[in-house]
Amino acid sequence: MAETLSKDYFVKVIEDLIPWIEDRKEYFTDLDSAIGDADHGINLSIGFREVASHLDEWKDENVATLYKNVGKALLDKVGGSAGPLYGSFFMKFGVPVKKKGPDEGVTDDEFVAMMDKAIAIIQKRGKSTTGEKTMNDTLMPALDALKAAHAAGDDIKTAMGKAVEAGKAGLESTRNMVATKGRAMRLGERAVGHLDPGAASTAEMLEIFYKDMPDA
Amino acid sequence: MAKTGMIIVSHSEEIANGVVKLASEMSGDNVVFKAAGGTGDGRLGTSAMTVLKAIEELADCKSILLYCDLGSSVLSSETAIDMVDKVALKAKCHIVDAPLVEGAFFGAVEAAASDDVQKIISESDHARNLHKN
Repeated sequence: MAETLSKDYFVKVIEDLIPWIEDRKEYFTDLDSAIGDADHGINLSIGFREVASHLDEWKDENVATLYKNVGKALLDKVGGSAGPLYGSFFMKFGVPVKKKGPDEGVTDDEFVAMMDKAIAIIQKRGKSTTGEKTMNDTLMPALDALKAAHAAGDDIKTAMGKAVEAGKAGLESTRNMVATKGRAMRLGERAVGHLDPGAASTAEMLEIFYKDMPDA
Repeated sequence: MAKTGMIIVSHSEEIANGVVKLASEMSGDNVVFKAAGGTGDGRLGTSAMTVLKAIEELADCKSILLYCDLGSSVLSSETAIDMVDKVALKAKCHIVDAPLVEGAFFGAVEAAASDDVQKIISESDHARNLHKN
């Protein structure tokens, strides 16, 4: 199977996540101020500034090492729960392709396996599933849609586009949920009416993974 | 008697340092403490990398007990333990299900006299029964 996603694609995703979080940090922090401790966007932006300061030295590594380094920086600098969750996502993302050379890209099959690995660790780490007003409400339906579309023979960009749509629907579903995880669980019914900040940021992150994919 | 390692994981650097100071008064030389608090740049938060470094520094201890405060301190601790490559070192690590200050204090008192990890954890757990009125 051909390597449809080049090494450059994976570098570009990281390069695009850096300005994205700077642009959106206040929006995510506003969401978090409604139901959490008002630090989600700010914390992530501090993590990605660390990534930005090292990206030049990391981008000659293979995809797995590049993403592992991104993950470690987020684990170290973010501070809140987004640190271990986003950090673990990036650390695990490259594991299925860790034997590749520094210039090698990945196949559609490998990309699906990478998303599977990265999203599975978030579920494990958060001991969480859908319906609990967390990033899993975005990520799990997105992963299911990605796998289903890929299995049905869609090219990776089409499949990822369906994943993004499923993730956005999952994000919207968090609005009417009562939180049962994290600080928002202390709010009970008061969390209803607000989107979950982690579900919102991960939905937009997936969209960057999608938009940066070359057309089939 | 072998030494016991204790890592105090808190969102606040001051809390982590303060708990180390308080609990270490009770334990003499038998417990080695590491504070893993804050983000390293003055903000409230926890860092799995800071916790991982503390675990590695305590590799010579018989067991390593992690005492955590809220939310991400547990997530960061679990992530750090997962990142430990050496199986033997990973097996030494235990996240203690106890209140941070009282649990670490009770655990340190026990660890001064015993290196039996189950006894230390059980003593720490008793800290939740410390009634205040």
